[in-house]
Amino acid sequence: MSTIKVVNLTKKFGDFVAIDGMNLEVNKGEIHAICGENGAGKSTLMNMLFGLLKPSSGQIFINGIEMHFQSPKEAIAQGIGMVHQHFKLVPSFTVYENVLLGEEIVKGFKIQRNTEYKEVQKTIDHYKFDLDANAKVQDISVGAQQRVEIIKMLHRNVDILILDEPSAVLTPQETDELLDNLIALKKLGKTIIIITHKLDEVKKCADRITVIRRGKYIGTVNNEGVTQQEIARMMVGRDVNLDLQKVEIERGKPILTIENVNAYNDIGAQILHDISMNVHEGEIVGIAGVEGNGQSYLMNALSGMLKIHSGEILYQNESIKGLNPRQLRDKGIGLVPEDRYLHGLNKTMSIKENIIAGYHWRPLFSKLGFLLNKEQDKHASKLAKQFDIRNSENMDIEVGSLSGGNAQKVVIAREMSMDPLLLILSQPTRGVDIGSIEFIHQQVLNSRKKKKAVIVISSELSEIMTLSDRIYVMYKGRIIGERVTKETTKEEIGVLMAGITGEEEKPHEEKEE
Amino acid sequence: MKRRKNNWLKSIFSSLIPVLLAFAVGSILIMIGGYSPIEAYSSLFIGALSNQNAIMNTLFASTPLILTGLATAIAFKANIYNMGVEGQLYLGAFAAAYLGFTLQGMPPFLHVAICLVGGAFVGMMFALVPAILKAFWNVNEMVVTLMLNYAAILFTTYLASFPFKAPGASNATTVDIMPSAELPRLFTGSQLNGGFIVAIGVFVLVWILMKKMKLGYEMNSIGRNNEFSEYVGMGVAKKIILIMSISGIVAGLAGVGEVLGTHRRFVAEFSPDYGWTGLTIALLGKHNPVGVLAGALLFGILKNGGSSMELMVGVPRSLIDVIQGLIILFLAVDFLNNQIGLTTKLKERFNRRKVA
Amino acid sequence: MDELLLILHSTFRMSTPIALAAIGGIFAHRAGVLNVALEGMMLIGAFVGVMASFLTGSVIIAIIAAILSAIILGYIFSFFGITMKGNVIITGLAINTIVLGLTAYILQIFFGQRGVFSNPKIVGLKPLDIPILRDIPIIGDILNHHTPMVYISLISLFVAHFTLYHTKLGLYIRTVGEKEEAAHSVGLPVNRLKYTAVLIGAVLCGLGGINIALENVTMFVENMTTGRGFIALAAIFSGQGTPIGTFVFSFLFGFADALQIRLQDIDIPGAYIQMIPFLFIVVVLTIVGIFTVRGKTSRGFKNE
Repeated sequence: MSTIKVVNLTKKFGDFVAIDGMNLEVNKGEIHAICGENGAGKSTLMNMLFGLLKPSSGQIFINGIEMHFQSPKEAIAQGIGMVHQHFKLVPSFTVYENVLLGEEIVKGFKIQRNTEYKEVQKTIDHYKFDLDANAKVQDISVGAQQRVEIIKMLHRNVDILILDEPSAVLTPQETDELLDNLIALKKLGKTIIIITHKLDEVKKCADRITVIRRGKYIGTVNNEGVTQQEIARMMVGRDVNLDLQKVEIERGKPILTIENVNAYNDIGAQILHDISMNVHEGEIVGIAGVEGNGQSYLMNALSGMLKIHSGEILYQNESIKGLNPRQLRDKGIGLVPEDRYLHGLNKTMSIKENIIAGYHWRPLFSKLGFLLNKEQDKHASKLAKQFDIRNSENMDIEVGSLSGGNAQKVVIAREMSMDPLLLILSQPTRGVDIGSIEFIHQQVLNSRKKKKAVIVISSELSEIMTLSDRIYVMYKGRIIGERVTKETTKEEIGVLMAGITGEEEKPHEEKEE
Repeated sequence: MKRRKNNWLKSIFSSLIPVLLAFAVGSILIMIGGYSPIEAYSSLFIGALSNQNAIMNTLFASTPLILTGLATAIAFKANIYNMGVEGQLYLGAFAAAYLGFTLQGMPPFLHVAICLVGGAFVGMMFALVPAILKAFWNVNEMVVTLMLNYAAILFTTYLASFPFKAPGASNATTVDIMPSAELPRLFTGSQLNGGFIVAIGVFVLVWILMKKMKLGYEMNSIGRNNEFSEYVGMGVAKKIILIMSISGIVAGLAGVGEVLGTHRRFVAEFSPDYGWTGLTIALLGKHNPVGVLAGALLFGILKNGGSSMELMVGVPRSLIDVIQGLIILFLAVDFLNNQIGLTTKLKERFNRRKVA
Repeated sequence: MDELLLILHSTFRMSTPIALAAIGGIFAHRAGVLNVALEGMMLIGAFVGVMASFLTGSVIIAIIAAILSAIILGYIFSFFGITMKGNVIITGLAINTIVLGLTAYILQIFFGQRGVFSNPKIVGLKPLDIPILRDIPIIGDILNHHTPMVYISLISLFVAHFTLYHTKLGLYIRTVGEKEEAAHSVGLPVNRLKYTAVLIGAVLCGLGGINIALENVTMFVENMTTGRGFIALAAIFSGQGTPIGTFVFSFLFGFADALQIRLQDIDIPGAYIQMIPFLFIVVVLTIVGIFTVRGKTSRGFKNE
């Protein structure tokens, strides 16, 4: 019998239908993967199962009984626990305080800290997790924080565990450890639902796989006997063809050379170690790596947002170390940041206002401190057409109301509009629909064709493989390998991303975290 | 295009509803006091708007509020919590008074100009303290400006009660400024003076700054997302200093106007919370210069009309404070906005009925 | 020596209303609600306290009435700021303005008084002479002969510390303030916790207000709290939201006030002394800022 049964579930946000007539059956004691593209509605579906969202219509059955959860508390009472992608932990509290949040052990009014600690440590040991109940959450690694979330649910005796994109923030080792933990929990009789779009992980641990696309149920298959390509096709709805035609280009002189760059974060931990790399005219250089291995810091250092402690950054043989973002742009460097709605766009400003930002002081757009409105309008409409920004007949609408793909096109259009000699893109297609991905990739290749230099930082290996001529792999704040794309394979880069260089090297012991 | 017009209407509506609600609650209080709300309110509006004199006095009451409102709005627009307008106003006022009574034998126009520049400069310098602390060391500007307000009020009170106290004066005031430093009255029979012209001039400049200039665009951007603004090279720290300076200048001018136009000397603790009222008006006008002007005029009407309401009907003037407070309270909740989603909720309910 | 003891004695006296409001305000602060309405809550407490004392002649009823009035204000603040999701700063400022006007208005329409209300029928708070404390040298001189509110403020310091760090309520309030999603995800009643935090503040503000009005002067003066609510807020900020740190800063303000009154007798302008705590807070925050920024490697400011 299925422990979870979802019948004809629908969720609407205003006019937008996030989940449309969904059906799902999860068996007791299995690991069930829910797969789908970004924005397919995976999280919405799970949030309804966990009582965080109320369905617009349809039914949810737990062990055969229909449920109408009003809050997560009720879901937990029915044995359903959820580990969110963004952890819901209080950083300044200890592990045990977080685990017991809402279920404190008290005598009179006083919380019995000692008893609490012992109790939680007992649970941790029972499941053989690697965790200290007394540590403060802000002091432990991301992987350990995730284990706190899992223990938090297990301590509440849940039978069904939902994990939302659990590996998004983990290193490969941590991911492996997580998958092992999940398989062990399954053996203890727990039912596990894992939401993900990473198919290799699905293949490694799941029993059955349900695919959803644009809020609709596509199908459920057994893991055995299905290939990653087949799942991918179900997710996307057509054959995925991201193989772009790349013309041969003679690479020219070096544009950017980074020499032995070291950098520290605000609290004094070293985050970039001895980074050296370069990029030439007419070349796309990819920076691969599992997220959280220093790529964001490298991007910030190159954007003038992070102070460099030592080393040198040469742009056309001239030091650009310590320049601010404005000076960098004035030198002809285009910057597409990783976090679209934090650094890339001002969500509540219009398309027009966003599309000139960073270049608004140019004589083209302003004179004597006054903005030239007509010029801006012209510029914005031109770019909207050129970069295929949909719904853009009105340039006064808020950027935040655009879809992820269109919003990203605004950023790309802005940074490419001034014809930069060097273009640096970080996670350029994250949360972007397939159509826009193809478009953005094409634009990047066009820059290369025009003999510009491009750096692409991405944690999507396939993106790196498609675009780059040369690949650097980052691991724990270092560059641990450099390969020419034509002479390497996806597998080889994947191994490097896991920190395995093949050579006998002294182990990287960092004071990170 | 249609969408824009709609928004414009919506923002008028969303400012009007709180005002009407506040008057409604106010009328209950009036009735509790044993008066007739209709009589009270009609005497209020008659007193504030019925003839030229009344209108002049309303504009006079609005003058300092226009300036303190704009000063606050400039900073708030960029999400800088300058709560120190009151203190900047006091120091600007004292500087103007000092220049007004020490410089002698000046041609009137020049003397006024010197006092304006001097007061504005002092206001700016005082606003620079929290600005620099914020820009360089990320010190919470809200607490600092709040603290410096008290310091400025105490300091100017000290100046007016000891070193610069007018001989023979019973309370803490300085001597009168030279006639050459006075902002002249504009009409006989009303206290409305050149300060109003200054306020309108500042309003026009601030409007141009915020709507037409590059700095206005950057203020808006910083206010909405300062990390983005830094990333696109706006240099947020420098802009904070610049924006606070402008805010301080305007606040200083508010003080100058009161000294040169109204009191004609520095009186300790002369401001009936102009800074705070300005802050309220800035919020009421949603940091928009036109909104601030409208808000200042509304508060001017209430203040001026309040006196005549008290005089004619007997309803205590303090009711005006209550009504002002209620307007702010109802404004804090955006009735038409999606925050509580009144419209969305209604729409949803309507749709559900259609489905069912 | 005697002089110093006197100053310290009146420091407790002067700092009590600030300390009460500040300690109460800590809860809202820790729950992530910026309560600017402390000022108004104190003022209503002072006003209603005086009214009740005048009408009933009972201090106890006056205290209860003051607390109740502050609680009602706390509910209004919470309803608009939390339930209706209004901007809490604007809501708080609005409350302050309303109370300022309303107290003056009521004074005028019911008592025909403008600005000041004083009447021999108003019963004030009497200083206590505590037997054991009386006999301890120095400490007795400083701590004895105060109104009950002074002792309540000291007790509330310990109660606040215990509540915040050793009880469920305190833990939940800190959770809501530090990471609201964490509270949501385990089904804690987030809004109810915020309400509770605000209302705890209201109770103590009511006590603080009544102390201002019935302690020494036994009368009500329009706007008689004169910004003490904001000073309490500054004490909370400077004390980083901890009860002890907050109390220390409240004490500092009281000390400057007491000193200022003393110094007036020997012709030193009190204004200078009164400025000290305000400038001191600015200096403290600056020093903290300089130290935090020293190792900073990233450009710009974080969004709040």
